[in-house]
Amino acid sequence: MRENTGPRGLIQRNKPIEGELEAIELARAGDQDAFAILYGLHRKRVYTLCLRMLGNVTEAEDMTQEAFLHLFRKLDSFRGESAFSTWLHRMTVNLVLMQLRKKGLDLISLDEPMDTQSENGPRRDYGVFDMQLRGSVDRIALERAVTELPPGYRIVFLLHDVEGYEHNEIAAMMGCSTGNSKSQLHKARLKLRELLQQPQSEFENEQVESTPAGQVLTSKEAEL
Amino acid sequence: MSDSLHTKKHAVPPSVDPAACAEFQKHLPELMDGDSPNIATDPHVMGCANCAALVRDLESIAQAARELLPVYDPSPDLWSQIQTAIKQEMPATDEGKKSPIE
Repeated sequence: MRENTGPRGLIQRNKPIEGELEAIELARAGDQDAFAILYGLHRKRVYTLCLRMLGNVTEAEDMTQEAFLHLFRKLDSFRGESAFSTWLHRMTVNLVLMQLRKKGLDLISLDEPMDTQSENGPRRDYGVFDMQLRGSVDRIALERAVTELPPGYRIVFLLHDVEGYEHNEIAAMMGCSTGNSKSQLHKARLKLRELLQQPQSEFENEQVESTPAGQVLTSKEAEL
Repeated sequence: MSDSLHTKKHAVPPSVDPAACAEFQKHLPELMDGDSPNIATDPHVMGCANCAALVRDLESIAQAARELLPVYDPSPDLWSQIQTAIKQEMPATDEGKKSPIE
């Protein structure tokens, strides 16, 4: 995961937070207010990650609770070799991946060839001109489109493009090859392009039809 | 994707070779990886408007993704649930460690 200088939004997220180290030390010693400070500092990032990966508010809250319980149990093992947020973040990703595996979701099809066109995957038709995106990609539209991705695509896209993990890190976490991670990411971006090309009304209709109640990020939520 | 969208697509001009596009796009996951040379100077991209647009769009999506900040907040009740859960499991944890939630 990238933590140094560069243009990535992630880097801003992993900057040391004022008062964090002190809170970690105090929380280790059993200070309740210090643990509450750590929750306050990191709850949004942990919860947003869980929500985007799981696509469900209830499951995301359960997983956020699990992540902070896990933090409580493992705080002594934080050695400060990476930023605390990076450490907590990776721990959360691993917990979510474990949860998804328990649910039997096939996150990644190993050795899946690039030209495979599954039912939910991106379509490539080399005999026609593609529709193109007009201008920059709208953040709210992208948030919505991400919820429409098949789980395997969504996870790799979130980990790489949103959260800034490298392909070798994703491969290690998901138990696949780096080539497979790259392939899944590419398909995710192609699928997102398709989704973003759709007229808004068509996109919303698809969401209502294909997404169970309570799993859609409403435009109001996305604007928060 | 809907049929209506496909009907809006245009036939590829004779100068574009679909086989060359397919071959180029087969290698796109590697070409778009951060360690690869600048894809904009790839000979196929420079000669194919369709693939150049595809690359631009995919790069725009990746760029927009970097700006998806952690904006969602859990329910205000979640913290009290976490406090309760920690209290409940305290006997199973290190007895010498004081609960942070006393």
